[in-house]
Amino acid sequence: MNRRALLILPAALILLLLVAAPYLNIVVISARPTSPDGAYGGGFTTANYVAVLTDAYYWRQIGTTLWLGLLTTAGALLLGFPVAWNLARTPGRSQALRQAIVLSPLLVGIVVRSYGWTIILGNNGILNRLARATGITHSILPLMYNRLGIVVALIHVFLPFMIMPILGGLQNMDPALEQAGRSLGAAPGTVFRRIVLPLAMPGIQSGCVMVFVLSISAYVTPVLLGGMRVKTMPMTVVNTLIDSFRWPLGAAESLILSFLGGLAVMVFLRLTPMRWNR
Amino acid sequence: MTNVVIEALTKRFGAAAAIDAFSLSIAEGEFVSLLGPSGCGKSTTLRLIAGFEKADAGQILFDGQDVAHLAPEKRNIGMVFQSYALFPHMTVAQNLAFGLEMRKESRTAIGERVAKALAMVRLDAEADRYPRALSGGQQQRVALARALVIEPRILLLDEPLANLDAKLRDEMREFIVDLQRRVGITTIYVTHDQAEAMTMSDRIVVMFKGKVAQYGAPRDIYERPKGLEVATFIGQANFLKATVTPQEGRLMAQTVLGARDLLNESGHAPGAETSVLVRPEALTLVDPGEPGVVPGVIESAHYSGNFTEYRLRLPGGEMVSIQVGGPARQARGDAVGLRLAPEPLWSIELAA
Repeated sequence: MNRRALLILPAALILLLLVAAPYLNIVVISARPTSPDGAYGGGFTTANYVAVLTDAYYWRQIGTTLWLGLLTTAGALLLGFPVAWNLARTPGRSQALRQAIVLSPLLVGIVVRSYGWTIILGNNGILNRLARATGITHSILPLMYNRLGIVVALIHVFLPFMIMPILGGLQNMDPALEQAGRSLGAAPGTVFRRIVLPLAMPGIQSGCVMVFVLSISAYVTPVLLGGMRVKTMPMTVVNTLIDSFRWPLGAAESLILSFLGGLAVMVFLRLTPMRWNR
Repeated sequence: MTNVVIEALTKRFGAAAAIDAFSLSIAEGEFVSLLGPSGCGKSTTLRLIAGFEKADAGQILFDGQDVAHLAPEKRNIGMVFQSYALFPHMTVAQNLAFGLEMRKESRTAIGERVAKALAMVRLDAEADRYPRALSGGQQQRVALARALVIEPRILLLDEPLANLDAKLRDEMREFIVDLQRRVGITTIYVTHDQAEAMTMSDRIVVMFKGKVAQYGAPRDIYERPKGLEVATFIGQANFLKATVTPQEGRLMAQTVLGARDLLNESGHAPGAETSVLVRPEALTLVDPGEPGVVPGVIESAHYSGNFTEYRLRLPGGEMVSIQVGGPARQARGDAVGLRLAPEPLWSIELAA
């Protein structure tokens, strides 16, 4: 083994011990029968998978989870791209400052940030009180305990993960490319569509994949903003594991969500190929 | 073919004027270089002509039509950038087709014109490759073809050779000039390299601090520079003290190396003290024993391969540089003779 390979050894060990091994364990557990005497019984079975895949209740929840992930990703992209664009066009020191501002929400824990949104979106929250005080409405605006509230909060929580990779891509772009486009007769909109957007695609791809994966596996935010009235797969997994203590079923649930999420990511990557970038 | 007239163009960045009342007139099909040290405003001028910067005052006229308020995409210019700015996500052919698509050309017309342009820059074989698979020189030619395929009114080149190695640079220099002559397009070329400007241009604009210091043919700029700054920026310059003396109705410049006709007679009174520009190649090193030569002493010798540069001290203490082909034959302290070519001399006032 050469010395450069040694450099990755610590990280590789940690990943192996704390990610790969537990994951493998989950795969094994998901194929075990449930046992009244312990976490799981001996022998192997496909019953857990069958239970999940044949139950419409699960499929509705998987649908909800993937749909919320999609909405969050789309929302974060629409909000994040202009920010990344602005940052990429900002010179040196003020860019560093603005980047720090973009990343600053990450300094506050996800629980605190989600609670913050309940204060804003709640039935007696800031927005509802404002709406009543200004006479916009006299009833309660349903801003929370629904999909809307969850998506709004998820977008906020994961926005930096969309902005940073897009910013990286835009920074690598030669500013003269846009000028070349203009000099060849393209209006700013066309330059954006034909030149900037395609070149920003690698960053958009990584941002979207990250936000999507984070969203479909999010737990705290959907629980707090959905008030258990919107059910997503991570909530059910936690219920099965902790409340019902049915580890094999919970393992199967989480693996099916992982698989379907991974499938969605693959489809997305296939739909947005970049032949020139290979 | 388009003529370009720039009138009193001014561009400020903050309080400082990057371009200060810049005026210029370029004839149809002419190749004009903007030459100057970095920060002199030559690139800003090009960006103003292209429309990437908005002028604070002044006019830019293409064939008499003021384009200063048109967006870049409405000016019908072809531009080659220092970084080439080829679209990395498009093949060579797609890069060339882009400008034609913007002009809503038919698919067959685009195919034909792209093929023709690629043949023109000898890149037919690379049509379907992506820019990063090409060498620097090939990328350069794609950039040229992309700028020219749209048949623009004028061609703008922003230090296009700066990123090429020396050998390729000489090749591309010839290639660009030859292409420009064949197409006959009015061309504005920005460079800080005087050799490029001298060999390529019909006329050169020497710029200092946002202003035109001199505008003229390469020969004029070199032989009759307006002022000390231009004289020293272009090529090597020796200055000799001279006394203006009348002779047969003309004015002569009397220097330590002899008397020669004075090119710029006006403004000089007989008997006045001035200084004259002597380019190194007007001086010849000869044997000190030859009749009629001025003696000198070698102060230093710098060998540069194809020539050696000597610094000489003349009688009276004046120093001159001279370049002699081949290896160094003289050493510091050697006594030599010096002869000045018979051509008339150009006087320059050294005191600012």
